Amino acid sequence: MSYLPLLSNLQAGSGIDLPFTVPSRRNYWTQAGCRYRRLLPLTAEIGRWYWVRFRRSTKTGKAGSSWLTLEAKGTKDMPKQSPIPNPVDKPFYDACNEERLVVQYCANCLRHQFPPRPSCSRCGNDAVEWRQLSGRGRIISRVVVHDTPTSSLIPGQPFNVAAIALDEEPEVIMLSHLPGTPVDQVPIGAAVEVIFETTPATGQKVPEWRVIG
Amino acid sequence: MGLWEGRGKVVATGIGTSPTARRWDEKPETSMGALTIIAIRKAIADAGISPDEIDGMVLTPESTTGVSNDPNTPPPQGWEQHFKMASFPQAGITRGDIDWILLNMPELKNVTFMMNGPICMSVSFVAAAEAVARGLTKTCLVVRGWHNLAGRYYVGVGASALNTASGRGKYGSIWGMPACGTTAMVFEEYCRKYGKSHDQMANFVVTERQNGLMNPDGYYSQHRPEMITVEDYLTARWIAKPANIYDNDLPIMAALAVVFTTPERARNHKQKPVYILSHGQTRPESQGVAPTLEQWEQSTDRMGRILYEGAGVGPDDLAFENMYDGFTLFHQFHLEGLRFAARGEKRGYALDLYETDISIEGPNPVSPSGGNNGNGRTRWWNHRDSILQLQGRSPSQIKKKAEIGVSGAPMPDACDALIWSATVPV
Repeated sequence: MSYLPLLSNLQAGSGIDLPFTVPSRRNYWTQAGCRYRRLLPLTAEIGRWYWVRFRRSTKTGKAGSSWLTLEAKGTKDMPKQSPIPNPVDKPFYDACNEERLVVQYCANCLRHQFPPRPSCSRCGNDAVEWRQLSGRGRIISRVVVHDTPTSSLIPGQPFNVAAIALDEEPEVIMLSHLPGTPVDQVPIGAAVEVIFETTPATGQKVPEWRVIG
Repeated sequence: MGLWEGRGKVVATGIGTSPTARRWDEKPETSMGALTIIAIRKAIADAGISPDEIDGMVLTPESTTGVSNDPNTPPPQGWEQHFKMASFPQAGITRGDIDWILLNMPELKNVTFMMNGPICMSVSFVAAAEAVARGLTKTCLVVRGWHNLAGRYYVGVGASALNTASGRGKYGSIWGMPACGTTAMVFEEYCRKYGKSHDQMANFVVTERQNGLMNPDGYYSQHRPEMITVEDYLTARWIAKPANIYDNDLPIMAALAVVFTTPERARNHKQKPVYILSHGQTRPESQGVAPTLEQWEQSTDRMGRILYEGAGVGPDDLAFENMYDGFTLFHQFHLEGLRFAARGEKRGYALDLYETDISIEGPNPVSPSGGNNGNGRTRWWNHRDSILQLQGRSPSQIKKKAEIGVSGAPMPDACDALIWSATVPV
């Protein structure tokens, strides 16, 4: 049972009540994947991305049917905090501003590391070098954040945060909001490529990732 | 590596637990420092010894994982009328401080060994065990207090409310993950790899609350004595899906003190001695901003090997496991690293085990203390209960004979853990 076609009439920022018949309550609960809590949240694409919530209405129809209310929320706006570079990570953030992804590399351990540190986290070598990477990776996991501590992101809840394993060294993990990917529909294992997002407070760019292919 | 050199040379005897509260009401007598003093006095009384006999103290100074005052914030008005002031202005309020304790507990006049065990009381337990085993102190207090200030716990305040980000948090915080986010991510990987689901956590979480409600010293038994159900868990609001509100522990005010000493001196203590057979430590080797499933599995495997080799025991010897649970979604990494109640499995079996009888009545008691989730956030209910279980006086005493148990905290890749025993196995 898919509700997605019903959403195609919605306009940006609108909220609309749609009456339609749902299966009997018994069937509704027992259909595979249709447990009530699993239906919440449901997200669909209508030109832009919306957060759509189904909830049981108090407007009850005749026995065996009921009304559902569709609520559409505005487009996600995810204004990140602007990171303030320090002497250790300045090369990383400078490269971001040039839309290049660089991370530290230890020639002793033959491994990359991120976040930047004054020395190799394994052997202590303080001659770690910066290496430019391809900017490709894969999604290895995700969460859907419903209760963020970060003030600027609270209006955009819920939102995806994905763990990105870099192609050059999958143990090196970065985070991403996966712009363009619907909430709670993160394709685990999908290939991603880096993009650079400007943060509003200082204009500092930070790496973000989008699904390719 | 072999057996731990201090095996059987250190015991725990007396335990003191303060009252709990959800948040500090800014009264001196309910401050974290005041609770710490209460806990210390109760531990000494529980051991049945004189304060004069205490010659060492190991303390975890950090007293929360959330909001703290600026270190230089002056104490509230009237504070100095209740307590003597240490050099650190927030001592006794948002930070534990041995100097402050000694200033305000004149009965502790023979403390000569002093040491901080940073971040987690597990570190203090391990440090105190080594100190007693090496003869640096004969009778040592292990201490930790927790504070929780008014207001929401780091949500929308402090650094989270700024439009810029500094410090190490900036590599992750700008994506807005709550504290449980990293754990939820690795849990998600775990479920995918082993074909498990978040629903399988329900019995574990419910059982923990059940165990915690048996503890008269716990936060929930004192202030919210309500049981939760499987349905409550399955319909709870998400924090960072797949972590819901019940997968997160509740910050509280509380303090614990434990007396460590030598087996010889413990003969004069009131409580039965509980031996430390070994301890282990892991620290993260993450290369990225978040750990991976493989890293957590390797780290907890390593902990299991260290503990068992040092103690000279194996998984089948454990009567219970009291590893850390705050967040619930990483408890299974600790459990599987120890191969607790494994039937030949190495990994991916814990959530199936959770769906069996893991209560204190059953054959495989998991988290009999109730942990943080059954008692409120302290990171020490599990250690406290391991000692009480082996003394035979736990409020959630397991039905099977408690001879050897394990507890440790906090994270799967940053853990200090100990194997405790009622006797010293040959």
